[in-house]
Amino acid sequence: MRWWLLSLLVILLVVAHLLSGSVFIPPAGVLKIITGKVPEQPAWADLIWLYRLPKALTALLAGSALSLSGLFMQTYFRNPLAGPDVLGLSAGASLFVALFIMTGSVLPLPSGSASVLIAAFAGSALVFLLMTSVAYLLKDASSLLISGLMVSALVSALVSVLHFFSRAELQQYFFMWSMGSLGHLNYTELVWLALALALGTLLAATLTKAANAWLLGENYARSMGIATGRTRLLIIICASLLTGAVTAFCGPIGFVGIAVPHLTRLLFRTANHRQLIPGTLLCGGALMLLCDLTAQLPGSARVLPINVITALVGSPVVIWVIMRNKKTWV
Amino acid sequence: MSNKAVLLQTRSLSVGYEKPQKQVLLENLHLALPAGSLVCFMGPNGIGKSTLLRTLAGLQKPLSGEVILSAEKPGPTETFVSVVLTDRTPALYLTAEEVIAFGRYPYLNWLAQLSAHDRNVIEQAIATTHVAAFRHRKMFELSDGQIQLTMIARALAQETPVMLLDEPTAHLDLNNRVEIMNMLREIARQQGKAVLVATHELDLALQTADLIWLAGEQRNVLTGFPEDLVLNGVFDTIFRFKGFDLKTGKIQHNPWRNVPVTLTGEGAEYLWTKNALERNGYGVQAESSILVEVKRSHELMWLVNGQACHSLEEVITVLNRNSC
Repeated sequence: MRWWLLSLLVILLVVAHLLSGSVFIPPAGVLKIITGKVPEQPAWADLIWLYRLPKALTALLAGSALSLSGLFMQTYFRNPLAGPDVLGLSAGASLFVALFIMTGSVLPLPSGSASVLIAAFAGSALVFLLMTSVAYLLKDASSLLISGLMVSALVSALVSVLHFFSRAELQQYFFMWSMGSLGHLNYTELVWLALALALGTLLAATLTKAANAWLLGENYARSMGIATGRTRLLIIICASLLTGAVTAFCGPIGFVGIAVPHLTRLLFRTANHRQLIPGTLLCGGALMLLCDLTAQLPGSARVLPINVITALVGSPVVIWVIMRNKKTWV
Repeated sequence: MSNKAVLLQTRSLSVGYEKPQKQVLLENLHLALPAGSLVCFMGPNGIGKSTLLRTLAGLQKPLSGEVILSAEKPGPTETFVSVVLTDRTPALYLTAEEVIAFGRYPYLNWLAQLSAHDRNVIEQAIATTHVAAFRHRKMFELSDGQIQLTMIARALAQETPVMLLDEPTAHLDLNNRVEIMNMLREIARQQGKAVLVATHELDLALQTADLIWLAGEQRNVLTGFPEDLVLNGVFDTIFRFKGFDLKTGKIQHNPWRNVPVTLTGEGAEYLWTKNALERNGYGVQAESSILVEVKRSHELMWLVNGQACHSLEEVITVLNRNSC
C-alpha cells in the first residue's frame, strides 16, 4: 500500500512538473506533446522536451541517488548524521570536477559527460577513504562529523580559490554550478546520471544482506559470514558513484542525502535495507521533485537555487534527528 | 566427559595482539570443547578471555598455533561457530525478530529471502529463548536482558554446533542471569551443542557448568570439573579471594564478640540461623553456655536459653542484651 502511494506520488509530481513553469501549457497540450502529437503552439513542444521533462527527470534521479548514497553512508559509519554533504563527498567531487574542467581548458584532456563523472567519482571516493581512516582513528561519532565538516569547508575553499583564478566565462559557469542546479542537463548527461544510479542501485541491492548485518557491528557481521573488506569497498564505490554523478551534473546539493533516509525509516518504520533501499529511492525522488517545484515559485518566472529549498526542508529533519539523540537508530 | 565428541579444539594456540606492539595474552593452549556441554571460561579481568573467544570464532588471527573445527563436512566458519559478543548493540530500528532472522544469513542468497525452513528455525530459536513476548518490539525499546536474549536467539538461529558467548549475563539482574545460564545449559544438553561462556559469575558457573576453563597467571588455561577446581584450590590461587571461603560458598566471618553459642535444629532454618549468628559476630560451637534451639512445630520459633523468640531479629536482640 505504502509502495503504491509513494509510486503514485512520484508520478503525480512528475506530471505537476510538466504542467508548471513560467509559461502556462494546458494539460491537454502536455498530453498531446507527450503522446507525440503536435500541440496548438509548436513552441510548447520544445519547452516540454528540452526543458521541463529533463529537469523533472534530473530531480527524480538526483534525489534518488543522493538519498541512497546517504543511506549507505549512515549504515557504513553507523552514524545517523552521516551524509554525502556532511562528510565532504560532495565537496570532494566538486574539487575534482573544478580541477578537471580547469586543467581541461589548458591541457588536451578527454572532455564529455563520462570524464566529468569519473573525475567527480574519484573526488568523492578519495574523501570517503579519508573519512574512513578518520573514523578508524577517532572511533567517535561526533569527532567524525566535525572532521567531515572541516574537510568539506577546506575543500570548498579550495574550489573557490580555483574559481577565483579561472577565466571569466568559467567563473560564471562555476558559480551557477556551485549553487546547485537541476535545469541545465542535456539528454546525454541524463543518460549518464541514470546509468550511475542504475549501477549504484544494483550494487546496493547486492549489499542488502551485508548492510543489515553491518548494523550490528563489524564483528557480528563477520561472524555471520559477511566479507567485511569487500563490503567496505563496495559501499565506498556505491556511495561515491552516486554522489559523484549528481555533483558532476547538478553541483553539490545539500541535505537531501542526510534527511531522506530518516524520513524513509520513519515512513516504513524499519532500518531493514530490504525496504529502505527501494524506499529511499522513491522518497528521495519525490522529495527532490517537490523541492524543485517549490523552487520555481508558482506564478513567477523566477527560480530559487535548489540548495535553498533543500536546506529549508532538510535542516529541520537533521535538527529533529539530533534532538532525539537518545534513540539514535540508524 | 572424555566420551563426548570434541567439536572445536586448539593446538598450541597463542592469542593476543600484533599492534601496536606484540602482546601475548594466553599461549600454548591445548583446549577442547566437547559436544553437549556448557563450558564456563573464567579468569580475572583483562587476562584475554574476550581475545581468546574472538580468536576461536575466527574474528581475530591467532598469534601462532591453530583452531581446529571438527566439522563432519567442511564448510565456512559462520555455519559452525556463532557468537554473542560484548560489543554494544546499537539502538536499532529493527524488531527483535528481524535481528534473530539475521542468524540465517550464512544460508541465504543476496536477496535474503527466508524459506519455510528458515522461518521454522527462527520460530524454534524464539521458543527456546522465550523471546515471543517481545518479538515484534523494536530493539531500541528493549531492556538489556531482552536484547541479550535476542542476540542469543540470533546465534541459535545460525544453527551452529559451537556457540561462543562473551559475558552474556553482564549488567543483568540475578533472575535474568540464572535464566540465561540455565537456558544455555539446556541448549547444550538438548541440542548437543558445545557452548562456551566467558563469565565472571563464579557462583552461577560452579552450579551450571559441565566444565571450567580457568585462565591462569602464566598465560595458561586450566581446565577441569568445577568441583575439582574448588577442592584442589585452583580457584583460590587464581582469584585470591578476600574474606570468601569458596569451599563452603560463604563469606568468612570473624567471631568478634568472643561469645560462643550452641545451636540445635535442622534444615534451612538451621543454616539461616547460623548465618544470622555468624553475621552478628557470634561463634557457633558444640559446647557453650548459651543454647539456641530452632523449633519447628506448627509455627517457626526459637528458644534462647529457654526464652521464646519469634524472629531471628528478636533472637539477636536477646543475645546482644545478655552478652553486654
